[in-house]
Amino acid sequence: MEIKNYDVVIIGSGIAGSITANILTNAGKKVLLLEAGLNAGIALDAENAYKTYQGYLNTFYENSIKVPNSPYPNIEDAPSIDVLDLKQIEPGKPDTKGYLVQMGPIPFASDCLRGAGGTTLHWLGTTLRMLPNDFKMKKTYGIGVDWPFSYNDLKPYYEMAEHEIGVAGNKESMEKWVKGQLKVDNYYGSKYQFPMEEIPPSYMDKVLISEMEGKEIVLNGVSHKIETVTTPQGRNSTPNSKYSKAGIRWNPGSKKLEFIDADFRDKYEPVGSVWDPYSGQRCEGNASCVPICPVQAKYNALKTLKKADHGNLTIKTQAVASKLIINSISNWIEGVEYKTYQEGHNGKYDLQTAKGTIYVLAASAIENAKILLASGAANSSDQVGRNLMDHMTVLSWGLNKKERVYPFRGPGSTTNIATFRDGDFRKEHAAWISPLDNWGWGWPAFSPGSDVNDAVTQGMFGKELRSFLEDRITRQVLVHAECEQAPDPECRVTIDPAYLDQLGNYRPVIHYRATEYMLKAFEAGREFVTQLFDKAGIEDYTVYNPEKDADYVTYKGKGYSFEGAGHIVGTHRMGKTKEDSVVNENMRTWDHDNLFLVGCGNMPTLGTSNPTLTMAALTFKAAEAILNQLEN
Amino acid sequence: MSNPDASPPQFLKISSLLTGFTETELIGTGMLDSYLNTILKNSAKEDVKYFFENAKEILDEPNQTEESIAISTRKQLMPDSSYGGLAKKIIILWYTGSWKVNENSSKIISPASYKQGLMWDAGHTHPPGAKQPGFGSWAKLPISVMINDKSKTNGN
Amino acid sequence: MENKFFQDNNPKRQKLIKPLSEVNNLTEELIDFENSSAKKLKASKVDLTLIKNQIQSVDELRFYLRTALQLELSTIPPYLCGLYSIKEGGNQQAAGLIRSVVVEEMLHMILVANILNAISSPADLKKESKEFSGKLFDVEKIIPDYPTKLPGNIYPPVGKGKTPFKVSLLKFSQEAIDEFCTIERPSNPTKEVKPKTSRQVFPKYESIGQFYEAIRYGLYRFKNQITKPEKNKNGKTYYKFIGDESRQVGPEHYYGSGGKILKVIYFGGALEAIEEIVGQGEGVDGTIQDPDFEMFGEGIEYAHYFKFQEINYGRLYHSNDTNYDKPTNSIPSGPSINRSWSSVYNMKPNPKMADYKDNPQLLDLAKNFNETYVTLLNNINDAVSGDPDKLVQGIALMYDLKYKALELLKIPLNDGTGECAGPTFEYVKV
Repeated sequence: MEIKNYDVVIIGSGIAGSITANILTNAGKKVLLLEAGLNAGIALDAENAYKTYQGYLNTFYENSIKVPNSPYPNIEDAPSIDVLDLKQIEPGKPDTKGYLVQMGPIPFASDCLRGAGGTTLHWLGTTLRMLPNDFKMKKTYGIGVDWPFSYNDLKPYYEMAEHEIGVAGNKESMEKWVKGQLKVDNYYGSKYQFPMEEIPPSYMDKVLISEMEGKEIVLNGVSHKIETVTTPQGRNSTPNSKYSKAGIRWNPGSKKLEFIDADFRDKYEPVGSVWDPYSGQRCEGNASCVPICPVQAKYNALKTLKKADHGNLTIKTQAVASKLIINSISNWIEGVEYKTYQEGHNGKYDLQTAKGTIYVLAASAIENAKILLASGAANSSDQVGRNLMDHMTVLSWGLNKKERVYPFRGPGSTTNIATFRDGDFRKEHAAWISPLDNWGWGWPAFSPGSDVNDAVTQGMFGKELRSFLEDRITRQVLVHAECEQAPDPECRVTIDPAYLDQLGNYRPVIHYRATEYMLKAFEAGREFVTQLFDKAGIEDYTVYNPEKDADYVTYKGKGYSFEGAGHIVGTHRMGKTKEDSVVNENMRTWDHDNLFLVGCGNMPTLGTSNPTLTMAALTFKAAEAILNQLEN
Repeated sequence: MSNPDASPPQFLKISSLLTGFTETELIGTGMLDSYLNTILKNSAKEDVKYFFENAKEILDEPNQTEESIAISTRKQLMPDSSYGGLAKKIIILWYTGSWKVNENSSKIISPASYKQGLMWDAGHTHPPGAKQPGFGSWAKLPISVMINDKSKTNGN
Repeated sequence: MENKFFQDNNPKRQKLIKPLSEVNNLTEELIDFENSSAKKLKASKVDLTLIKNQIQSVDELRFYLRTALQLELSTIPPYLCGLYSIKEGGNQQAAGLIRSVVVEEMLHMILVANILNAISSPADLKKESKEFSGKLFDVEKIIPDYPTKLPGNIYPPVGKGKTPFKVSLLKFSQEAIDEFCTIERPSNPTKEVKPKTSRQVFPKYESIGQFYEAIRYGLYRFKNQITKPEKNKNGKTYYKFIGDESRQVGPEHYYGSGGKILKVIYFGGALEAIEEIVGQGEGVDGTIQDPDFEMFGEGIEYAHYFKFQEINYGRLYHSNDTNYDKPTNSIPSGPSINRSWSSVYNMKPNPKMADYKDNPQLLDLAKNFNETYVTLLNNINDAVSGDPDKLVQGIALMYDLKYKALELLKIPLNDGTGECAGPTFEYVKV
């Protein structure tokens, strides 16, 4: 039995939990952090952090199929979602092979990581802000719902998130497109600076941009111009000499979070690895951001956790939160039950309760929803678990006939086609962003291993084989359309006593589908790429397999396969009223005054940005609200 | 039980022929012994014996030309019906660092074999997560392309 | 109290050099003895032969700095051989220590170039344009032939009866670590440098520190010729170097250590740059007055000599390890590090391309390595010759160098010695 009373109990050490812990402990609050992952993962001292991470790296090297969770331990007592478990679902027969119970009709295709640092260990690192219209989809396009605040309201918190993550970007590139196509001024603002200069765009980007920039694409009778933007990213680059911020702190006087200004001599220093500040000060081009950055030049949440005031922070690992205890009179949360496993594989555990003044769920969109449902908490709106969203991602790949582009180098993507991120078409079908992928056909075809296999199967060997592969590999192009899934109440996480894990906790039961709004986007997205490839001299090699692809769908007689983007969003949405949302604009649950939810589950709609940056911004907002509540 | 034909030098020669990489390039990976052991451990003894005998015949062919060796290799070693498909397995081993167990499954020998996969060199790149080429390298042509193509370096 | 043993720009980095004025009672005014008042000189009782014996002209100062470039470069290949020859998985801490030294030697090279550019007028550069093909140095000539003497007539004491010190390319071994310690060992600052003989280009120096001390004297002595006074708006006078500012390499492209590239524009910048070089490189041994002062411990960045001592003893320094009488005699007593002389590629000492002439494929690889090396040096030369952004392009070459070296190290020589090939760091035309 836990007797100590903390100011705040946080569930989960991913980016949302770590930011919250960092801000609160440095503001003098006593925090308990519960992490379901193995104890080794939380090491922040040089020797052990290095050792654990090298272990991840070797596991990654040795794994034959390299998917986002490959490097990391999958703990039987606290399993992670694994995309290797994905398969088509037979009608009426839920797929129970993996951790998720997939009810269908199609499987949910994204994973996340249960472990110290959370999914930031294998995130790609793309840090695009959402667009102003993304916050008012209902008002502008009659689709989905509006957020309880606007882009401009979130802007100061975006700046904090970009500081915390350490964003390298090119403000001018983004603003040129936002101003030109969307007629939005001051997207970043004239005074704003990124902490670091842009990650250099890839050689391939330059070749493709020269072939496609400004070209015209006609979709459903409307003409669009191809515009590319360099992608801001959470990985280390050359420090921006104009950046002048040194940190973020709580100001008890103004009751706000504020930036600490840098001394004029203190230039921004990229944050290196957890084990060595001088390792990972620049992205070294490992081309393995997903699933693991070997030098930790890419941001991960352990960097934030390391900055916490550890005198105020208690961390318990291998501690799986299972249930919130609700006071039946006040309706406040009065404890969180958690199961501490010993071995991780035999289902043996100790049941404990943690107590604090305020509780923060930061366990991922799916786990947050699951814990709430298991506790009968926060669900007076019946929205908990609903509106599960992802970027449904349609891949298109081909060979650049004109010239070699030398892929499989650099970060996953350094440039995106922004044209279809926003526009009137959103009334009809989903918007999408099309990153230019730097890693050839690795995602759709497991290239170049599959290329070797195919060539050898055909009987190639020797110098002929070598030069065939040289040509095949160096011309590979992948462009994908990450389609913004609109909120759909029938895409949801539920629980069922028939499906429990080894510790007796609920497994997430997932219902998932693609609405016509999405199917239309797949159709348009493919049409866009077809025209694009045509204009750029890229020969299309795209094949969707009706038998093998897990998320194969048809629309107007044509088949499309989509992949998950790993963007698990929307299960406890934020809103203006307690009738239609789970949390208010400060991410406090409408039903329980001392329960906050952080993470992507809060997002009412998804937009076309990878959600981590927005989620981090929201977390700063939540942390500020928590401090206000504690100090009142 | 030692097999005089399946010695490291013989294996090196036949590997160079099958992969299109020079013997020195192959030694430079440091994987020669490990791969030979993998083959000996995972293949039928008979297949190994006759494969290396046949390979030796091809390599020692009198009046050989590059062309004649290629024809013999294609006819005698490459068919799936020859020696349990060993030639193809050897190529895949060098190129990917993994041993092909069957049509649907293969196994990476070791972290080192993953890093030394020749397919990455063939494609002018490096295995993801290893042999990283350094900040900003991806914005330029690969060094293996630049250094071999003198016209591009001299321009500074 | 101001702590003289840590750098101004990074309070966690040791500097072993003591300010000139403290060690030798030499003030700026005294060094510039030709312009000082006779009265003051007489009153100071300082022996000025120390200064008079050294750099005699601005041209000579520039010659010293070019030699310093070669000096810094000459230490990089030996350290790299020590580093590359460590097999993966073993000697992890030792590899980390050597790596941190190597990245700083590269920093030193750039800093020296910045000083050289600062004191070089456009006319000076034009004058030398032919000799150096319009660049700051000659890549072919700057590459040493190993085993090599240390450039600048520097002979660290090696004990009586032993042959004078030469730097070799060696695998990671006790011999290599001894060599590294010898290169970086500080010497006594008060020990006088004997005047050079008429046949000598340089006087004989005992340490790299002494060599840089001479450069420091030279900077002071010829300050009037290499700088122009400028008044800022508060009326304070600054001495601005005569060199072209646009040739200075700035800090944005250097990382991987606590060191910083400084643009050398004003006189103080040159002194700061030398402090960075000598502080982190080998230093000048002084005495520590503050009894509470700890030279070692967590979060402190040690000078190179101490990093190598940690490998030498197989132990890390502990915060109690300071030897107050003679800091360089401090012996590490902290936790032991994994050190294995056997999990190392058995590289032939001082390998040459000529050793590989009977194996054309190996020779090709060795040549390819050297092409990368020379291209890298060309890039650095371009960067310090007016195109600072070239530095960032050199990074990929630096990484590539390692992978090419590792290929060489995996190739046995089959000459009966059991040794393997290694990178030769020789000049080839690219």
